[in-house]
Amino acid sequence: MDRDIRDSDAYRGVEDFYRRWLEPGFGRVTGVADPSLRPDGRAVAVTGTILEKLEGLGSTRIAVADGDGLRVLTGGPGNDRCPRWSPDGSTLAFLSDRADEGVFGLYLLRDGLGEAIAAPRVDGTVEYCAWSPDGERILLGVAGLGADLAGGQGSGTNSGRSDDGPGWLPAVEGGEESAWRSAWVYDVAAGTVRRVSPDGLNVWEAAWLGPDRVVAVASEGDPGEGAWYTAALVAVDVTSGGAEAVYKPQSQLGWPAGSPGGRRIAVVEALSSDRWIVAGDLRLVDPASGVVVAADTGGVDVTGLQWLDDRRLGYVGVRGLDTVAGVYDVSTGTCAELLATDASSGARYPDAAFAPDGTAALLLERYDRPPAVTLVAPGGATTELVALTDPGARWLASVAGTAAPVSWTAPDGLRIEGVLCRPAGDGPFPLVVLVHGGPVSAYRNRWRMGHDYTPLLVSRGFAVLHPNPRGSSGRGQEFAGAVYGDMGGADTHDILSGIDDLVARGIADPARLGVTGGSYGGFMSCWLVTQDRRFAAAVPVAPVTDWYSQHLTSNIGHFDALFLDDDPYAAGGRYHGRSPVMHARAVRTPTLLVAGARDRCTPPTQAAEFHTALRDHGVETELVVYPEEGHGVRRLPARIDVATRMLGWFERHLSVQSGGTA
Amino acid sequence: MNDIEAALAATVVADVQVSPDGERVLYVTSSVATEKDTPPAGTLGLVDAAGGTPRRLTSGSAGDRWPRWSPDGRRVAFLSDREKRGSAQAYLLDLRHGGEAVRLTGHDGGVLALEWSPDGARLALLVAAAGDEPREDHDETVAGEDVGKASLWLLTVPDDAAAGGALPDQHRLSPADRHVGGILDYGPATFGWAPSGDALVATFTASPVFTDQLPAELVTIDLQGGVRGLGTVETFSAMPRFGPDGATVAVNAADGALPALFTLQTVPAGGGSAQLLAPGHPGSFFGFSWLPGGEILAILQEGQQQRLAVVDPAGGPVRDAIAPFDRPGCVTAFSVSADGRRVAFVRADDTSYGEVYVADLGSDTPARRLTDLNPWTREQDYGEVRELSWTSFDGLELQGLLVLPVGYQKGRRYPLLLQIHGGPMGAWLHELRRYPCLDWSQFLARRGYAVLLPNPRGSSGRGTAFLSGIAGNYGEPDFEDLMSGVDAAVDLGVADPERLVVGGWSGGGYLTNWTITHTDRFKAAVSGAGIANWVSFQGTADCRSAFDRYFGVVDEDPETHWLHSPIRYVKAATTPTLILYGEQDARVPPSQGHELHQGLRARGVETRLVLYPREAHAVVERDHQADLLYRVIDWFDTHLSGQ
Repeated sequence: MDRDIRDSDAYRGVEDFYRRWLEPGFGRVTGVADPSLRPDGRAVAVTGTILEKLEGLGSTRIAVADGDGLRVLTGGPGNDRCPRWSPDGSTLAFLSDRADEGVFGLYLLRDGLGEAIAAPRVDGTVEYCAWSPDGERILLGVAGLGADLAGGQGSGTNSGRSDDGPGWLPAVEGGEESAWRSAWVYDVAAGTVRRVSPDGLNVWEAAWLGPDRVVAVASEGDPGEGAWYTAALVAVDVTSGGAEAVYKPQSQLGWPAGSPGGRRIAVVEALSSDRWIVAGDLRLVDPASGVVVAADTGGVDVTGLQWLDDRRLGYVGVRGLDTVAGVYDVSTGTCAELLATDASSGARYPDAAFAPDGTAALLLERYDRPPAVTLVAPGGATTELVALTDPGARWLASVAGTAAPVSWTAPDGLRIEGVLCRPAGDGPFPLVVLVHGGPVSAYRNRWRMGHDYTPLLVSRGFAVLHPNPRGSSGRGQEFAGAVYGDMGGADTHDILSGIDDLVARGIADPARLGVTGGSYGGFMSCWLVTQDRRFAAAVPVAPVTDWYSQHLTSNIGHFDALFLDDDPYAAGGRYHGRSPVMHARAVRTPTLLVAGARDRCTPPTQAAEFHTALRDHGVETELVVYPEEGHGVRRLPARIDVATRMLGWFERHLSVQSGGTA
Repeated sequence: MNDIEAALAATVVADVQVSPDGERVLYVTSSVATEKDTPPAGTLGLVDAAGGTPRRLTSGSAGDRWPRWSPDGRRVAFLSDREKRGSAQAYLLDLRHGGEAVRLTGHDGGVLALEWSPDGARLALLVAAAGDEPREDHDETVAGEDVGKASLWLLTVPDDAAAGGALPDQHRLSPADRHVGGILDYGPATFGWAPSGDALVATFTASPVFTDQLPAELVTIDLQGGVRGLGTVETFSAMPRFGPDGATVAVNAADGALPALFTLQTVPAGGGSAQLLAPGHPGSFFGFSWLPGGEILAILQEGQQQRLAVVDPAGGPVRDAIAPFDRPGCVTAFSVSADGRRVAFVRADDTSYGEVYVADLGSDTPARRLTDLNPWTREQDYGEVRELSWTSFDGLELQGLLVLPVGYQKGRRYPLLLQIHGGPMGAWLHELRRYPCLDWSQFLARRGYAVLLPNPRGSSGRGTAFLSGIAGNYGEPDFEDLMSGVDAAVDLGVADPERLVVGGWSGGGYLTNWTITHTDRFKAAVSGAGIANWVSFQGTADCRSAFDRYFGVVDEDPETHWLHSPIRYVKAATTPTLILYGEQDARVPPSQGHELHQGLRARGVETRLVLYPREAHAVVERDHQADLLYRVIDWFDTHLSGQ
C-alpha cells in the first residue's frame, strides 16, 4: 500500500467509522480511569479522557461523579490525571503538566472552591501521588526526565524534548545521566517538597507505611527498566531517608500498600511480563520481623489494594474472566467479596477504589456498554453514578455485534477460556484471532474489548476470538507460570485448539483465518504463521521476532531471559528455537508488520527482521513503521491509518467484501 | 535583597470586585515587574468581607484578570491567557460546585473585557482583532491600514459549562467599521449594560490608535446591533454606564474638550445634551458607579489624595462616601454590592502599593483592611512624605509632596531631586506607585536626598480650570510653578540650593528637557521618554490629537510648537543629562531622545542615551526597571559628588 492512503476509499470508510463513533462525544468525557473514592463514599474522582478532534491522544481532565452527573473539575491546559482525595475529603490532589508539557507536577484543589494551586516543582515528572494516612503529606513518585516508560505506558521515554541542547548532541546509554526514579514528599502545611528516597535506590512504585515511612518496590544501583524484574520491597524512613529491604520476592512485585498504622505491608507477588501489569498472589509482610504471609483471596489474582483501616484491606482482581472486589480481614484471614461480575473495571486489569466504610467504586463496563462509574455498598448493592453513554458510543455498540465467553480444551486437556465477538447471524464467519500481549495479561468482557480493531472487524463481518492461553492471568500463578520457559510452546496450541473448536462449531470458516495482536500478541502472530499454514493473513503489531536481537536491543532484555528461561549467549536453545525469524522458510501467510519508531520495549527492528526474513523466502509482506508511535499505535490519526491497513489486509486475503455494515 | 530588588518583587492589586451580596471580595494581584519575553501574570484572590485568610482562586501561573461576578453571585467570569500567553480568553468559574474554570471563547486576537447582562444569561465581550497571518511573499506593512479594530460580542452563557462540549454561541454586535475600547494599552475602555438587558452603552472610534480617540462617539447599541449616537466625548476612559432608571447614561470625560478632563456628565439615553455634574468642583473624578438610588459613587481626587465620594446628579453637594482614613492615601479602584450598601476598594498610601478594603457606605465605622500583600514594607525605611504648598509667579497657590530623606534632621540641608510627573494631566499622590521605575522618591530618600513632587498647573486634582492652565503655553507657566516649588523647598531649609537635580518621565521628561534648556541651577538631569521637539513629535508620535488641544494643529501653528520645543534652546543647556527610552515607545518615540542626545553632544554637554529593548512607554521588565533605577541613582550621585 502507499505511504499516504488518506485519499483512498478504504481510509475514508474507516475514518467515517471513527467519526461516527467518536465525534458525538467530542468535548465530553468519553473515557474514565484511575478512580479515587471520597472517604465519605459518595463521590468518585476519575481521570477523564476528552477528545475534541480526530487527532492526538485527546486530553485528560479530573472529573467527579457524585450522583449529579459527571463534572469536569480541571481546566488544563495540558493533561490532568491521578486524582486522590485527602483523608478528610476536603482536598483533591492530582497531577498536571499544564505548566510544562510532558512534565507532571502536583496540584491541589482545596475545599471545592477555586482553581488548583501548584506544589513546588520536583526534579523530574511526577508519575503518581498518595496522601499520608494523617493527611499532612503527599507522596510523589518522581521519574527523572528521560526515564524509560514501561511497555504498558507506551514505551519510549517520558520526555522527548529536543530543546535540551543542539540537535547533534548524542544519545548516551550507560552514562551517568540515566534517569532514576525516586520518592518525594510534599508537606501540605509548609507547601514544600523534598526527596526522601536515598541516592542509588530506584523506586518503581511506592506507598505510605504509616505516617512516617513509605514502602517501595525498588531496585538497588540500576535505574534501567530491566532491573524491575528483580526489584525488592524496601521500607524508607521519610525523615532520615534510611532504606531497609524487607522482602525479596521469587517473582515480581506490584501494588505495595502499607497499613495506616505502619505495621503491615500488603503487596502482590506475581510472575509478570510488564511493569504496571501485575496480577497475582496477595502477600502480607511484617516490616518489623520480615515475616511474609500468603493471603488466600479465593482464587482471585489481585490487581489493586487499598487499606480501609489497620485491619481491613480492600482488594480487586481477576478470577477467570470475572472482576472481583472484596475486603480482606487480616485479623481473621478471611475475604468478604463485595462484587464478582463478568463485567470489567479499569483498563488492563481490574481497578477499584475504597472508602473506609467498605464502599467500593468501580468503572464497570462491558463489550457493548461503555464505562459507568459505579458504587458498591458494603452489602453488595450497586449504584450507578454516571454512564458514559453518548450517541457515538451507542452507535459503536450497535455495529459491534456481541461478546460471549467461550472455552475449549487444549491438546493436553487444560481448559482454556476466551471471549468471542461476532456479528449477528449463524456463520461461519471469517475469523481473526486477536492475541493479547504480556504474555501475562488477560482478556475480560471490556467495552469494545479495549481495542479499535475488534468492533471495526465485527462491523465488517469478521468474528474475533480473544483467547486467554496459558500464561494469562486470572487463573492463579500455576496457570500464568505455565508459559515460563515455554513461550511459543503449549500456549501456541491453546490458541490453535481454540480455532479448531470454532471451526468445529461452524462459527469460523477454516479457509478464512487471520491473526493479529500486539507485543507478545505480535510475537504470537508471527509465531503462529510459522507453525500453521492455515492462516490466510497476519498483522503482527510491535512483535518480537528474534529473541537474540530482542534481548540485545530492548530495554527489558531481562524479560526474555526470565520467560524463555534460557541463556541468550548459548548456541541453539529456545533463543533460537522460539524465534519466528528462524522459521521463516515455513511461512506462506501474507504478513503486514506494524511497529512504532519510538518503541524501546520491542524495537521496530524486530518487525523489520521478520519482514526481511519473509521477503527472503518470497512471502508477501509489508512493513509499516509509525515515526511518532512507541509500543503500539495510540495517536489519532495513526490509529485510523493502521486500522485501515489491517482491515484491508484481512479483507483482501480473507476474501471479505469491503464496505461491510459500518 | 536591597530596597530596589524588594520593591521590584512587590505585589500590586489592580482590580477589586465585591460579590453582589457584599459578602465576598474578588481581587486581582500581579507583580510590579514582568520577566523578559513573558506576558504579565495575574492571580484572582478571594476573601470574605468579614475578614479572614484570603485564598487564591485561580492557579495564577498565567495572566488571570478582569473577574466579574454573575448577578446571582454563583459564578465568576474572568479573562486568562493560560492557553496562549499574551492572548486572553473568557473563562467561567462555577463556585456552586467547585472545580477549575471552563473556557468560553476562542477568539484569535483574544478577549479584552467582559460584562454580565443584568439577568446573568449573557456576557458582553470586547474582542480584539486577530493579527494577520504572517505572509512569506509580502512582509511589508501599510501604515494605518494594518490596525485591527476591537469589537463588541454577545455570548450566551451555558448553564452547565463544565459538561464540556463546543464553545457557547457568540456573535459580533458592533459594526465592522468601528473600533470599541479606546486606547487598548491604557486598559480597554469599558462598556455597560442597560438595566433592562436589551442594550449596551459604549464608545466607538475609527481605530485603536491614540490619535483617533479624540473625540469618541458615545453610543447605545441594542441586541440586534442597532446603534444610536449620543454625541461625542473627549476622554481617555469614558466608562459609560446606564443609570438605574435606564434613561440616563453617565460618562467620565472632559468638559467639552481636552485638557478640561475628569468630569462626570450625564446624557439622556434617548439622546440630548450632556449635563455636567458637580460643575466647578475643585477636583478630578475618575472611576464611578451608579448607586441603586440614582446617585453616583466615584473616585474623587482633591490635591494629592483620592477618596470615595457620592455625587448627586440632582445637584446636591459632593459628600464623603465612607468614614475618612487617618493617613492620607489614594483609592485606585472600587466596586459596590448590588444593594449599594457595601463597597470594596483598593487604597494605597505613602508606604503601601495598595490593599483591599471593605466599608459600608454612609457608615462611621472605619473601613476594614482585608489583605496584607506586601508585609515586607513594614521592615523598610520610608522617608516622611509632607504636603508642601507655595505661591507661583502669578500668585497661584500650588501644592506638591516633599519627601524627606530617611533620618531627616531638621536644620540640615539635603540634596534635592525635583521629580516631575507626566501627562501633563497626571499628579503625584500619596501612594507607592505601581511601576517603581517611575517614582524614584523613596529610593533617593534612603540615599540621603529630599525629593520634591510638585503638581504644577495642568495637573489633575484641582478642577478643570487648573488642568487647562497650560493650554497654549504648556512648559512656560508650569516651569515657573516647578521653579517656585524648588525655591520653597530651599526656603524651608530642607533643600541645598547647590545640590539640586531634576528628572521626570514622559511629560515630566519634556519639562526636564525644558528645565535644562532654561536654567543651569540643576547639577544633573534624568530625562525619560520626554519630548524634545514638538514639531517632529506631532509627525511621529501616535497621540497627535491630544497635543492639538495644547498647541493647536501643527501645520496651522508650527511656530507655537517650535517655541515650546526644548531643542530650540539646546545651545543654552549645560546640565549633564541621562536620557532614557523604551525602544518600542510609540507614544513618545525614541527619536525624540536621539534629537536631544545629538543636540547636547553637539554642545559638549555630558549626556548618555539608554534604550530599553521590548519596552513601550512604561518600562516594565524587572531587569530593565532595576537597571533604570541604578542608573538614575548613579547619575545623580556621581554628578553631586563631583563638586
